[in-house]
Amino acid sequence: MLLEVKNLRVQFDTLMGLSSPVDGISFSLEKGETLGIVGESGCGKSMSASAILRLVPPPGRIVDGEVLLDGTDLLKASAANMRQVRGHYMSMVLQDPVASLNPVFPIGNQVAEAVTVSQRLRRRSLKEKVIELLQRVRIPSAENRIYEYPHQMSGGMRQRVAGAISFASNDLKVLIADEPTTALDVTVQAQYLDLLKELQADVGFGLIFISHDIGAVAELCDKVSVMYAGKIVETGPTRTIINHPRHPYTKALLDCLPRLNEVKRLEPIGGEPPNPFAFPPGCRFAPRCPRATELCHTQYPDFVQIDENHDAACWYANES
Amino acid sequence: MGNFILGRLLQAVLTLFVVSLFIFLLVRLTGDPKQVLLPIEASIEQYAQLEKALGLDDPLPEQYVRWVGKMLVGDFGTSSSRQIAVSQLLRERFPNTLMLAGSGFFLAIAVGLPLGVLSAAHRGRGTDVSARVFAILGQSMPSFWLGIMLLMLFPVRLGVLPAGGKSGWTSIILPAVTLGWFSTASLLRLTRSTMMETLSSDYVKLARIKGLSERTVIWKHAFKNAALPVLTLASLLLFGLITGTIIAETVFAWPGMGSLVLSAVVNRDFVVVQALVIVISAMYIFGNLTVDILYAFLNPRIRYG
Repeated sequence: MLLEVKNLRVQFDTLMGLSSPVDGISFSLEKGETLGIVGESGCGKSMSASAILRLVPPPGRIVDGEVLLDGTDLLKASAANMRQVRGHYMSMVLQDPVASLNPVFPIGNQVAEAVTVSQRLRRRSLKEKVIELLQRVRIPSAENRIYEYPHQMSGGMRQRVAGAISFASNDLKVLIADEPTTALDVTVQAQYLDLLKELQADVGFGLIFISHDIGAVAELCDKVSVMYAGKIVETGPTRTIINHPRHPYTKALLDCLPRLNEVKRLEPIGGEPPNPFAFPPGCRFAPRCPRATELCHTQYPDFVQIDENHDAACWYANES
Repeated sequence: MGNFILGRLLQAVLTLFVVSLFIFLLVRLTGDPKQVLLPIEASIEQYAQLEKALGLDDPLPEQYVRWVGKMLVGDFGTSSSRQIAVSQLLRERFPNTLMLAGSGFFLAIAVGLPLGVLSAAHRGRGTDVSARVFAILGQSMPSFWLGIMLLMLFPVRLGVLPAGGKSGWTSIILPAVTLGWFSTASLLRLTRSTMMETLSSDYVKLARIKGLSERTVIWKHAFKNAALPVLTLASLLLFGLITGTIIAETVFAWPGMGSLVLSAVVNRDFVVVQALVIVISAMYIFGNLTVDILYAFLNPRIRYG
């Protein structure tokens, strides 16, 4: 197993009280595999990603769990070792390409910085490596653009530069893409997803693709975990999840999607996600769930194994 | 970049020209120096004589050209109330004021900046709390009161540091602290808040994702971005310090320009007023120019804008 996350829990101690935006999630990732994490805004997807890299912003803390990379628990690593892990083996593409590049440095400089963390290169070969990375993410006339500043480039180009930074290391094992296409327009999105797939095939890293766009996830991912209010509610192979969802939340998410080959009314999910400072005691989706019973409101359901790789945390997962 | 600097330089010279016109006219509009210089019972001939001696009977354009021409070669005229060359007055007083303002500014930069950065980087911990207490003290104490308290504590109670005047390098410490604490506090607070903002930005997160050391993340990625508003405030503070030395100069009997400006205005010594105002304006204008250039150096978006 390349990456194994076990019972990861992030806690924020704020003036408004305690909150756990990531509340005991577990998943695993094989080499070359792509895992999709889907859920609404605020369900804890991005915070999980930050937690895996140990970059939870203060006052947040990782209070429980394990993040095993090739069997080593990263949560027990020293700060210096963790920097090495980030520089060499794990990386992340952030959501907003405009905000993720530093406005006051030329982009070549920013890519070079990422390279030097993992490789010792002379000036000349460093420049070549930077140009090569930029070419790999399809930046036209890269040798001229290394002197440009972020504000001189388009959003799509900036996202590619951010991408080049993420796979600057030669021994990248895990790449987390946190809604990498949300800020891009649709045609650029498709190009970017193709690029991600291609690079993954090339390098063979495990990819965690975080998105609220189930369509993009379906296209890219081998398996999917659906997150709701800090917990994973359903995990399974992408096909199974899309065609035979067992958790009512997954079903509701899929009902919000327009489909090409059928005409039907889109069903928005009624109600709102629960307040992270006061999660309901039972199933967190129960207040919005059309099928919720007394049991759902009082007790949190354990995972029910439906298939070998398919689990759902619902009291009634085996019905229907 | 060269064109940019040249353009700003021309702009500065043009501004200085306009300012000099204004000063020239305002000084002549706000009162008649002859009435102060001559006794009430003076005759009309005496008035005419003085007018001629001061060159006030020539047409205004001619007076202006003569004034500017002389200034360009370092001749600022003669003080009518003190009967000495203004350039000599400037030579005596100006370096002292500059030194005091400079020390206050140095204090603000050398203490305010690093403390602000540390305070943001260690938010909520001991360093942060003490830095904020230091800042609140600096911003809430009026400088005349602070000056007097410092006087009472160090020279009077403890018998260390000179109480006033200019004698040796230790004599500047108390006036500089009096003058500079407020600026230090403002700079500290602004640095802290802009650093907190940049530290929570996505590009700082990406810098951490790259695996860079915390020092590089803070001082290179976050600080260079936070430096822009800090630079603006620093330039404003510097100008404030130059003109704000009057209080510190008074409390510590520092031989600067503060008292000179005041007496020249009261005595309608227009030659001195003209000279001091144009010198201070020139400092403002070229100070601003320096800040603009630094800005462009720090911020590529201005350079290519």
